[in-house]
Amino acid sequence: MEMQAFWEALQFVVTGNDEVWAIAWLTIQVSGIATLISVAIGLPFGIWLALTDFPGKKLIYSFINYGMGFPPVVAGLMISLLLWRYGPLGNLSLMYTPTAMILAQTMIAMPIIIGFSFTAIMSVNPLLRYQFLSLGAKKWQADWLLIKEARLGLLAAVIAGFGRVSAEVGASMMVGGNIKGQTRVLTTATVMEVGKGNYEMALAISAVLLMIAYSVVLLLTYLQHERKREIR
Amino acid sequence: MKEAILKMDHLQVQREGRQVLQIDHFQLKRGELLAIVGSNGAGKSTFLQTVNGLQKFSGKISLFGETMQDDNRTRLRRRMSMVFQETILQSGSVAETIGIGLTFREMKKIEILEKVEKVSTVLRCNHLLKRQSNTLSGGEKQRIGIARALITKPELLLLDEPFAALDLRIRREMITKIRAIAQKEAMSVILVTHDFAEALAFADRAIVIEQGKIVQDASPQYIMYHPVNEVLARLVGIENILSCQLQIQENTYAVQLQNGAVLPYKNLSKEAVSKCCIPADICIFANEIEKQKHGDWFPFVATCNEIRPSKNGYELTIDWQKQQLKLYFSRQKKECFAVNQEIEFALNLAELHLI
Repeated sequence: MEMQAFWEALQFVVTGNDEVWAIAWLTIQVSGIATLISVAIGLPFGIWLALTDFPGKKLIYSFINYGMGFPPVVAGLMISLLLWRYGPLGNLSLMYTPTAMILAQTMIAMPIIIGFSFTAIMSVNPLLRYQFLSLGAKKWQADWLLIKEARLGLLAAVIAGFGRVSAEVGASMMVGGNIKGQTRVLTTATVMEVGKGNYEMALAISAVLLMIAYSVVLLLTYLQHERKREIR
Repeated sequence: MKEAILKMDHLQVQREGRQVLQIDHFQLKRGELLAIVGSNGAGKSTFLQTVNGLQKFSGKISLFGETMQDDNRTRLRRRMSMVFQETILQSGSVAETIGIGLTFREMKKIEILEKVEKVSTVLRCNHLLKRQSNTLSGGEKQRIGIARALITKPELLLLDEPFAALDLRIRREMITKIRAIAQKEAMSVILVTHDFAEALAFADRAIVIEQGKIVQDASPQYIMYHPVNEVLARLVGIENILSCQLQIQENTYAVQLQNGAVLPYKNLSKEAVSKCCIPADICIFANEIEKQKHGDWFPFVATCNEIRPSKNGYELTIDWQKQQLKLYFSRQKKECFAVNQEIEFALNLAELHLI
């Protein structure tokens, strides 16, 4: 019976289904935008944290580390408290919208991207930056080169951030509500179909989710791969 | 008279509450080749890093006539180059790595490539230009690191043990080349080295740093034969350091060694001495001609305990009244000695050094 379900799911993926593709597209939008926001804020912050010494740095980094393992459902709860009708931002009517899901997923991805980018910069030999300065680099030139040296780790940060939010279900369910045609994404749809006993559909949706996640990771991995530079 | 391009006054560097460098006064002239020697942790690398503006300090540093401050460090650094003890190259091709200093100065790519070709040809590493930096051996990396420092034609070159990973032939070649470049371009160079032979081969002047302070400042040859203390004596390779007592009788001085031998001594500069350094190149009386030639030297007889080949001849361990000494002789003297043989030696008293 499981094999039959699997083959039916494969057929389903190949032939297509408008509803599934709409869910897939919303998944890419929500997780993609959340990752982009996290990268836009988290990457520079992580880099700055790595390059700057100040009192309390270790304490801040301990919170970042703590945030990397933050339960998604708790993130969803905190966003819900902000956005629901009687919350401080209740008048914006964002609850059960894709925007609420983006906010929740951003909250989940941000510490991961900050933490990984911090580690990426710290893993570059600190003497390299001094070497650049000693050769006459301005501060921004030395920092930029250091970021280039750490690009493998920084791209890993983006991959990790996207992977975490595209796979999470708790926060999306809590703030999105899994509303058909509005806030249903691949993870919440999978949970729902399993709950209904529609294993073929659940498998098909999971296969689509895996395909999307792998496509994004494959693209980023190619970017991460070292290019040979030649003298021109 | 050459102007001083580097001056230090009342310089202090602290690290984690500990004073690691304290220089009261120091000057380096344009075109001067200086070696810094000292034991591990003495503050040699900190000295270079401070000159390069990479360390916080109190006191005053003047470079090229300008006092170093926070807002002019980059401008001053662009007139210097530094090669670190640990060679770290950025990722990319060797050509890009060598030219990085010129990239910071926003020079055109075509000009950078020309200069990269030129400096890599001089340093004989142009065959590496298309390789990736992370594929180089340790020795190749050090050569590229030196090329990277020289390409910007610095007025002051700071070298922190740059030859450690190079084999002897390449090391000698690099020393010769850098000296030649320095003399041609009137470039001042400060070389930190553990190998006193490098200091002798490279520099006209040497300073010895111990516990963050300059304890001696002279030519390398002078330091080698007149080290200021026992630590430095061992650092420069003096092996025969004997405990001694100074005897003062009327207007004459004598040094009594721990084996009882009493040596007349004329050039006394201080009375608080406890050790006597005996050079390893003292004379064997091989024949009557040599005896006459060195008649004013101090003769003594010792037993040869061990003969071992060394780089330029032989190393002898002799027993002189139960005091072991290590001496070196050229290959031509091989027939003059054998193990367990009593041999006549002569010591040039003018070469004795008391610390």
